[in-house]
Amino acid sequence: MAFLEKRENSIADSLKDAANKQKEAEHLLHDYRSKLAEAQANAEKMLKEVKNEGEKLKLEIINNAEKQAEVILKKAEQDLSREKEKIFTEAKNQIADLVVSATSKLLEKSFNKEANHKMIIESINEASKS
Amino acid sequence: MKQVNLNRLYDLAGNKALELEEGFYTLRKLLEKNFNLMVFLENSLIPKEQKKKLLKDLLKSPPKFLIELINLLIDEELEKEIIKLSHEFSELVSKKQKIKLVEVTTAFPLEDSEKKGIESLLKEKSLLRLQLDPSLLGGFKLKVAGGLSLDASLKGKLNKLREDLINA
Repeated sequence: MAFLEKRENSIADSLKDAANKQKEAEHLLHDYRSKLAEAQANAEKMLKEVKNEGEKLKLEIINNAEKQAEVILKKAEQDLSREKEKIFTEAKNQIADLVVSATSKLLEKSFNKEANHKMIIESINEASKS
Repeated sequence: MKQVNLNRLYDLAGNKALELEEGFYTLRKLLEKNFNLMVFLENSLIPKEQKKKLLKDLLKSPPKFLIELINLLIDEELEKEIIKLSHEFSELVSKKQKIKLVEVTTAFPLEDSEKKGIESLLKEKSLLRLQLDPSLLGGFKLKVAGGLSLDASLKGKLNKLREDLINA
């Protein structure tokens, strides 16, 4: 009888121990699940942050590039405008020089003493009126 | 910088002031037309006597008072100031003697009728200094000492045409 009682107690202890271990295992499992969920949430949060940072960086790069492009374009437009103005001025000077040079050559040949006299008298008359 | 008292020079010249002005004017024209001569005169390494001799030779036996003026200007190291001083002396003589000293430059020799016409423009007593410059092509240029100037030359009109074309 004592043996049976002992055996019964041993079995009861074993069952109790098993129940405890199961409880402990369940607790551990719950812990792991919570930690996993937390880790997942953290990972998602980090991913989101990285994505946001990346997006911000992308926008910044685009903005900078646009600004630089604008500056380059503006400078190119100014250079072009200056160059156009320079060419235009040079062309006007050259045309004026050509006209004056051709007229001078023509006058050197055709402008005689009579024409000179007429010009002087006309200039005197004009100056005396003013 | 050393100075020449032009009023004192005028007083010293007495009744020869106009002749002295004429000589000073001739010297000025010589320098204005000859850049190398100006460089020669402005060179402080060239002895003063050489400068004086060259000017006397170029002016072909100038009157005594002009020689004295040249000597004074070179001795006082005023070579760089000759043109300016000459202009100022012309103005002074013009003012003191109430006579307009007028330089008239033409491409062709001026005819009597043209000369009279120009004199009539000036209205007051005037002394014309005639200069020939074929580069004017035609017409005339007029410069009154210390006063107005008029460019009625063909070259002047062409320059005006050039300006108008550029500014158009």
